[in-house]
Amino acid sequence: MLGPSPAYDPGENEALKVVQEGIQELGMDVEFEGVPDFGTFDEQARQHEFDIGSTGYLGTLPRLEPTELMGPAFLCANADGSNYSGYCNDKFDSLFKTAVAESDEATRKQALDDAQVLLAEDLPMVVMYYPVISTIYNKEELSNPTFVPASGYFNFWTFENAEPADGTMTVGIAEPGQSMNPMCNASYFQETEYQLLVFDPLTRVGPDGKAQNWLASNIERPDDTTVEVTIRDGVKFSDGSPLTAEDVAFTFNYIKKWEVPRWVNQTAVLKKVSAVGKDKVRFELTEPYGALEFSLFSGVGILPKKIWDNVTEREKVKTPCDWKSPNYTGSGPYKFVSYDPNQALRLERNDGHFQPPKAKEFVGRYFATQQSLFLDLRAGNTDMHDADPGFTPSQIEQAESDGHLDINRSPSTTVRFFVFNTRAGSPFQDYALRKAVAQVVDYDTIVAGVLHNEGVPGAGIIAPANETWHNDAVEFPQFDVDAAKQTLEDAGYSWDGSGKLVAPDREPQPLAAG
Amino acid sequence: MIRRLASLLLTLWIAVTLIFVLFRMVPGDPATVLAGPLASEEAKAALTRDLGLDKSLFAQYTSYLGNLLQGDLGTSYAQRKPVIDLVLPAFLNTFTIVICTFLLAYGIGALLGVYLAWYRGTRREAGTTFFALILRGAPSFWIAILMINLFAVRLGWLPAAGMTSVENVGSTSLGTYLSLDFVKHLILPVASATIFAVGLPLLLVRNTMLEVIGSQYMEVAEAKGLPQRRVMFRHGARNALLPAVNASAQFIAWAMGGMVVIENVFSWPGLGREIVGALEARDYMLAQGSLLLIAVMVVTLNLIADLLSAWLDPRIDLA
Repeated sequence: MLGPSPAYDPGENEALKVVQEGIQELGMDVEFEGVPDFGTFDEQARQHEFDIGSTGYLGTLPRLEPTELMGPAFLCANADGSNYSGYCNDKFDSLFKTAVAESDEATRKQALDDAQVLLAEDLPMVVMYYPVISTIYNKEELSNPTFVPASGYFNFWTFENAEPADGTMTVGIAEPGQSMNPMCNASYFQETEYQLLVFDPLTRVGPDGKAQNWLASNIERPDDTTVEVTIRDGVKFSDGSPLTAEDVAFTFNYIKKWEVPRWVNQTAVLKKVSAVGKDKVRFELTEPYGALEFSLFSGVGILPKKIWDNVTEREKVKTPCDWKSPNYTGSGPYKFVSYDPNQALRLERNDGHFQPPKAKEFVGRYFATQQSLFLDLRAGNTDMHDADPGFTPSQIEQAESDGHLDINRSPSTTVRFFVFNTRAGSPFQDYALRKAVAQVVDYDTIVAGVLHNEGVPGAGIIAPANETWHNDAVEFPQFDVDAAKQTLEDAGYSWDGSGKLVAPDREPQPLAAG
Repeated sequence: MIRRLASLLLTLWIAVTLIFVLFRMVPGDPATVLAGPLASEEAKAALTRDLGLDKSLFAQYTSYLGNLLQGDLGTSYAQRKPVIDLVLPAFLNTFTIVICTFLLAYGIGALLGVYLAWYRGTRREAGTTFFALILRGAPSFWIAILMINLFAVRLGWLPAAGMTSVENVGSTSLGTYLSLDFVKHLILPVASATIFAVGLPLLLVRNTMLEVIGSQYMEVAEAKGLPQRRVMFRHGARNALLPAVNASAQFIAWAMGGMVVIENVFSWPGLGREIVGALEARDYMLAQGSLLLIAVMVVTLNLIADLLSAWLDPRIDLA
């Protein structure tokens, strides 16, 4: 069993001990190997050096889209990469393809519902719990923050609408800063929320988890593989120049051309992006892509073509990501002022924006540790924090004794699960054994005993807090040791004299349906 | 002297090579960590190419050495900025804490050490020595968190984290470093580090002073009727300080890398914090640059310590 060491993630580590005890009741020996960080886990997992591997999925705003998790984790095509379990089911792949391609929400929902049911049947993974996140903000300094289950108060709508008493919104992140250059985006980091304060995207993910028009005033699909976006009137960059369809077309072609790692997969579907007139952009796709508004449009901030077009020649760099001092002129609600990744990002309100924020200034402060961030919150110097710093129960108790802090506890969209190695040679290639393990996970003990009730027992792969996409009809195995043993007996397993589990003499059955 | 310099260069080359090799032995590669969980192979491949990690290890090593000889420490993988632009300010920020801590810890420690030795056998001396031993054994992060809880959270007298207030963040002007705001932010980290560090010079000077006090020339000085203070400092302390001087250069060298804990507790933007962040992100270039800077400091300061010792004590032969 491969999972986080106590130093890396004490809660998850303890939860896995409960799982380990359950599996031992089935008569299997379980050796636990703790890893110090995600990089080590990923390396071993991709080399398939595990039978059970614990990973987690931080539920951020862009990740409300279920395909962001389900595709990389369970598609056949990713079996040698991010699909650590090696799970491969053509039916799942087909449902996934429908969910990605369809633009009709009802059809997408049905496909994703069916995919969730299938995963709960085949059990390439077991969801242990969905953490309850405790989100804190300084209520004496900040009013009207917007709470979103996926990210707490750390979201665009807070940055836009909350009112800081002193005019400056100060947000703390307990991680080292990444590059603010959008052309360097490796994946979704918290800085990407900051980038989208400076560079407006075509759509934004609303508090309800759905993409809503932002720079785009209208989005139409004349056919399955064409999307036409009309840009809002009168938008200007912060230097006063107009934002046009040319800038939009340029941006998407640019990120595709330079293979910005975060967008490599999403832009693969773009055949041609062109400006049609001053305010309309036509996206021609290689295949239907229903999640375009969410997965691509909401994450790409529009760059001014006149600044970025010939940057490699002008600045004598190999790629736009290598630009040492990028010009961060954008059309967003805030303007860039300065950035030190070890101290802070400073932005000021863009009064010329079509929807300027309430705050005059925005400061994103970087802290070395979560403890340092927490103490600064208590001292009243920072107004709020990032998505999920993982406050401990003792920290929450201390915060509750401070009159100026507001604490909100609610289930997050983060999913804590472990995957089985379902490849040939692993005992978990057999479906019955996976089901039995799912039946010996004491979900309630994990939530009550390990998490001190700061969690919700696990069920399907999409968290209940993700109300738009969670499927209530998913049935997940419940904790029942006797039922687990019965599952194994029915599948031909037995136990030797010393109580050790003996596998049946038959070919493993990889999927629930055979 | 030339032999010492050649040895210094050889030491640095070994350090560079060891650092280069050791990082690449740590599991998990930078592209994986930057691309994040569930990243596609295409995204990882694109990032691997961007970072130059698709080249052979030998090619990466020779390229790195070649750049080093031209003063180029490479580009940070996570922040995509030249490493030198990131480590130099961090170095100065750490150096600020280290120098302030050194001056206070060694100043107070040495003075107290002399007094305690002079007043040996008294209850005052026993109590202070005991207290110094306790401080020497207390973990620095514990001292730091206690200080923050008391002075920042409960009393609100001093800031809990960072190097400047929100209004001054991003400013690199000299005025910021000389401002009251900066000084207020400096107090707790330096106080915490000083409390942790004062034990060593105090005990070192006290012990050496005890040996010196028993010397014949000290008896002669007392017998001559010189004022007690003059005997204590001009004749006694001056000779008792030699081990402390040796230790001080080593202290500065150690502290440059040893401020990791203090910098992380206070989110002070120094080299220690830079290294921890770089290691977590597998940002080899930034971690290498930071460690190399520390290696250069340690080697240089050790050389200075040797030179200083030879100057103070003509009996020491540098060769």
